Amino acid sequence: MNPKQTVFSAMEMNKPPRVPVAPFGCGVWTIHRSGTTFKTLSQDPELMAKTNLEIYKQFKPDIVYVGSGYNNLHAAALGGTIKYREIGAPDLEEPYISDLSDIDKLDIGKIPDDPVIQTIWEAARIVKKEIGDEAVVTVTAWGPFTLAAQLVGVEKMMRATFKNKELVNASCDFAVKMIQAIFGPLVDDKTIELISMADPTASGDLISRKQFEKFALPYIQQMTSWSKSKGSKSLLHICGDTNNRLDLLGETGADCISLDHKVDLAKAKSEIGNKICIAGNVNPVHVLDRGSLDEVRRVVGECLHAGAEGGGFILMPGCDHPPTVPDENLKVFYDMAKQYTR
Amino acid sequence: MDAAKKEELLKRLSQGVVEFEDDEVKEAAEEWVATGEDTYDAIFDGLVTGMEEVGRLFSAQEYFVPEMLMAADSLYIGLDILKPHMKQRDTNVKGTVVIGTVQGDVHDIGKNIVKMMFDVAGFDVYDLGRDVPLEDFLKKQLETKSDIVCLSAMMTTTMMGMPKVIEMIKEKNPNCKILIGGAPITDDVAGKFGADGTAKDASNALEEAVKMVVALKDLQKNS
Repeated sequence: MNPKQTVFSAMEMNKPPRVPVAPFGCGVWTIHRSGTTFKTLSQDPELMAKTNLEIYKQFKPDIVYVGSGYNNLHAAALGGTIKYREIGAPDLEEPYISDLSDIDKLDIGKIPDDPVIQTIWEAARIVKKEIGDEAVVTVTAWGPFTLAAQLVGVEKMMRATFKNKELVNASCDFAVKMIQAIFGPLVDDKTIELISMADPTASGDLISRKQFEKFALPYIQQMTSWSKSKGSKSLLHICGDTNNRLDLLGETGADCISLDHKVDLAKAKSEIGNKICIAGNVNPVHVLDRGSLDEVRRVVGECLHAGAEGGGFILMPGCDHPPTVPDENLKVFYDMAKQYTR
Repeated sequence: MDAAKKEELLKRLSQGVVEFEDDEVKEAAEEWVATGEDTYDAIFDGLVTGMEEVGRLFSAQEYFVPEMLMAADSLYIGLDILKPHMKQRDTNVKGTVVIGTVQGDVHDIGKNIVKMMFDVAGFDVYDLGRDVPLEDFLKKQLETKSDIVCLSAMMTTTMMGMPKVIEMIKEKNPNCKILIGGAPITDDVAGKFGADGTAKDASNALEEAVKMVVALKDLQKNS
């Protein structure tokens, strides 16, 4: 099996000959290494593709994420302005949905006109052309609740879950349409066969199980069934401590759920591991960034031990990793999975 | 005001915060003010007691961020009514805090909750907001001579700005205490970054800060 087949085999709940291994997103790290900036890349699809391909050549991850770090720019395709920064990913300066009538004014049809989204599409096509069917090529976006919270403003969204549920539902509905418009052309022409979404505002540290069930899950399900109807797979990352809602993550309809390091991987494996492929969950800061080689070996070993049995597992960091992660640590992370055949 | 009435109003204030009933808090606070009595107890045994319960529910993972924000809104409604009628006291611990979310990071909900705890406890708080250029922390610290600087970062990518701020401030003013917080921050990270402490939530942050100010005041007394 080649890397792509290995990943998809795991996502189809089989046991590939070795454990698939990939980062999650890692746009900030990728761009930091390339010595260029978010802004420069946003205007240069070839350069964007080149940064992805360089990382691919060096570390051979099984999944390559194009456009990672640009999720906030999707929001800006229909309004608002973007702030580029020296540190960290760019983001929207001000939200632009304050009530229901604002949503009616927005035109999804404008998504393809956005120059940054065009760059990401173009870069994904270049990367796909180079990598072909050897590894999985994907593009990243926020999950519906997170994108909607960008449009509305995170604090306002949090309060609206009590005070203005209609706004929460309408903005999530709209976010689903936006995300579909962003992935649509790439899924249609098979540039990507996996969509990747992160839903950090629906994190287990931010909202309760009840709210996750009410405001995040239904829209995630809309995305995953849309993806399925297009013949694509879906990877979903939920940040934070989701130990109390693993059953709900099992119902997302995603082909793979990427778990944060706060989740007990063995518990997740036993609760939902027969239902959905699990990815995780090496601590990206403590272990990958700051840990010694021995610590990396120990924790990666523990994750493999807890997750790999019976297949349906991908080794991943618990979240996006910092730009400063040492190469040697990453090398151990990748090598251990690729040599793990039990 | 008789004891039974006082008890009733305190309960309505604290329950009102816990259940984020803005109107209930407003009415109870207004009733208290109408009695003409010092509002100190109403704030600390009413509103703050309610917020402590919210903190407990948060730690127990019954309340999450939306609930915390809603409760904080109710608390501020009460505080705005009660604070102007509070007699000034010489609290033994009072300090000055500079607080903000580091450059590149716009996640300021946690920072705002910590700031609220400082407000309530009577600290002088200078809030620099979010996405704060690193050198602004130093500038504000020097300008206000604050006892404490609080830095927040919610992302693994932006937390890397923290050690730079800590170094800048410690170089100019080694006695200034620095507290850091945010999702990716642990005791271990705080130690490695050279911070004086971290806290897993807002109430703990306040406790840590009080300890630091006490330590600082002792230091000044002895020197």
